[in-house]
Amino acid sequence: MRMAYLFRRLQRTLRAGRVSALASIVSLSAVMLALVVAVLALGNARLLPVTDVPERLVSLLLDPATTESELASIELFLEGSAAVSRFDVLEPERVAERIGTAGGLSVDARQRVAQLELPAVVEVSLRSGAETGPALTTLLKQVGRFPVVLDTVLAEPIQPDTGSRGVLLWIAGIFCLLLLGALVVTLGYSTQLAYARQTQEIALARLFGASERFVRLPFVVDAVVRAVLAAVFALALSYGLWSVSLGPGSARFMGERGWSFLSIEAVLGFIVMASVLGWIGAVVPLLFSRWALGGPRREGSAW
Amino acid sequence: MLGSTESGVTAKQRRPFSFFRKGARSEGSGERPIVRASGIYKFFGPSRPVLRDASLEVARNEFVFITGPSGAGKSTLLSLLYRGQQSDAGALEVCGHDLTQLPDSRVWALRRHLGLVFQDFRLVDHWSVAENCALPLEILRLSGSVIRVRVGETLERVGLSGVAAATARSLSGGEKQRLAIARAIVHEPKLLLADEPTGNLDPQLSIDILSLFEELNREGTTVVFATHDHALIGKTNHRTLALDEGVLGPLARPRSASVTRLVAAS
Repeated sequence: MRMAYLFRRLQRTLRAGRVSALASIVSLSAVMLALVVAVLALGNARLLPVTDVPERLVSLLLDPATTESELASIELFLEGSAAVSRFDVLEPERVAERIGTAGGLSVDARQRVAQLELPAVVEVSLRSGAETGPALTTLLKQVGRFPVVLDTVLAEPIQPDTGSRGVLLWIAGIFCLLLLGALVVTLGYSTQLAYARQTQEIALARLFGASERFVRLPFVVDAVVRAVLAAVFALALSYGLWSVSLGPGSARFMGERGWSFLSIEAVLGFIVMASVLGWIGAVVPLLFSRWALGGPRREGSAW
Repeated sequence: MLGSTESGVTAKQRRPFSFFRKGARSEGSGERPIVRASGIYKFFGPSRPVLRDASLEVARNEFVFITGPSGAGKSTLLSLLYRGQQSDAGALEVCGHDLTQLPDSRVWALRRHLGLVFQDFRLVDHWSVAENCALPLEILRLSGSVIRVRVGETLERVGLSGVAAATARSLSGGEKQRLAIARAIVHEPKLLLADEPTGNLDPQLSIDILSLFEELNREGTTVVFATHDHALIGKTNHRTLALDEGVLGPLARPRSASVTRLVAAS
């Protein structure tokens, strides 16, 4: 279909209901803003403090060629790390002693030690508490810079969802689904309103040979454009909200680290999702409107 | 104006009829009647027949009046021709389309061959005259430049070129009907169906409108003109069919005054 024609039809649709078009974009933006915040909560819930991880968390597997001075620099680093409560350098003989004993190396670590024939393992105990999760991430990054550390093995896997955090995830997920439903309903309602406002024009177009595609396409494009515009507004607003209250600038409210914002892939995905919702929100009511508001046999009813 | 061109728009682009009818079926031989109806029945309720065994053939380039009192079924018959409604029985073929077999999803292919004019104009009041006139061309997805040229030509032809930018609601009754006719002919339909197009107009305007239809007919458009105005029919010699209580038949034309006097004298 020619773009110029589509543009003319969109212009007419907008001209027929300027206020309602604006109102629908505002209401869609509001719903989408809530959706973005819910998605942010959902995404950041993974990074929420983990309080119930065991104290002994990680074993650093060292290169067999590690020298005394290199080991000393690792010990120095671990001593300086606020996240580490204590650490223990196991000589090869002690590693052999501890294999198979309860409370020693994890099965995974033991297997890795046996495979690599390592001379030494450093068992690192992290402080348990509110910041253990992020501290672990930071520690692993820092330790990875030492060329003598071949691998790190967690003694116990961190449970991603435990207790109240799991409930929070469920609530945020259900909220997201409800908001998606609300978006489709809002889009559908605004499409139906635009359709009802142009009943005469549509009936007339059918009289002069307009196909169903001709009739529906501008409404679908209109709904998709509205949804995408609303998504862009909502993302911009939520970015502003994040910058002011949830981002790194809010350290004094939220500790060392605030919530992270959506990745560029997530932002693009959100816009694609908005266009799909716009399409659904337009097509569904139009399918029902065809006969309710004048199909091929009922064009006269518009007059 | 008819011969005028706009830069960059070729004659083929201005009247790309094959593209106009894209999706429409071939009409076959040019000798076939453009409308062929036989044994048509239409009921509005089990005991309310509106059309009974109506048969009709309209040749290409013919001008046919359909007359009858109000409620006789003229509008219903025309509505069957453009597939606004479906007949309950009988065979009906319009512009090569068998309307008894035509699915709803293909009605558009029939209607692109037709031009429709109604008594109540059926204009979009808040659109401009040019926008109203351009509607059938937009449906055919022609480019803006082609539409502008065609609309300009057509409005000039019906005497509305001076008010192209005005809204339809600002026009008088006669102008509105002229605009409705312009919209009906802008895409050069093969068959023009007019349902009481002069019903809301004074006698002089009615004659003007009839003249316009006759001019279109002389140029090759088939016209089916429904009216209850016998005075208007009396001004022409076109074939006239009368609907009476749902039965369609040729109209017995009233004799002229001189003939009546001769009969009385004899």
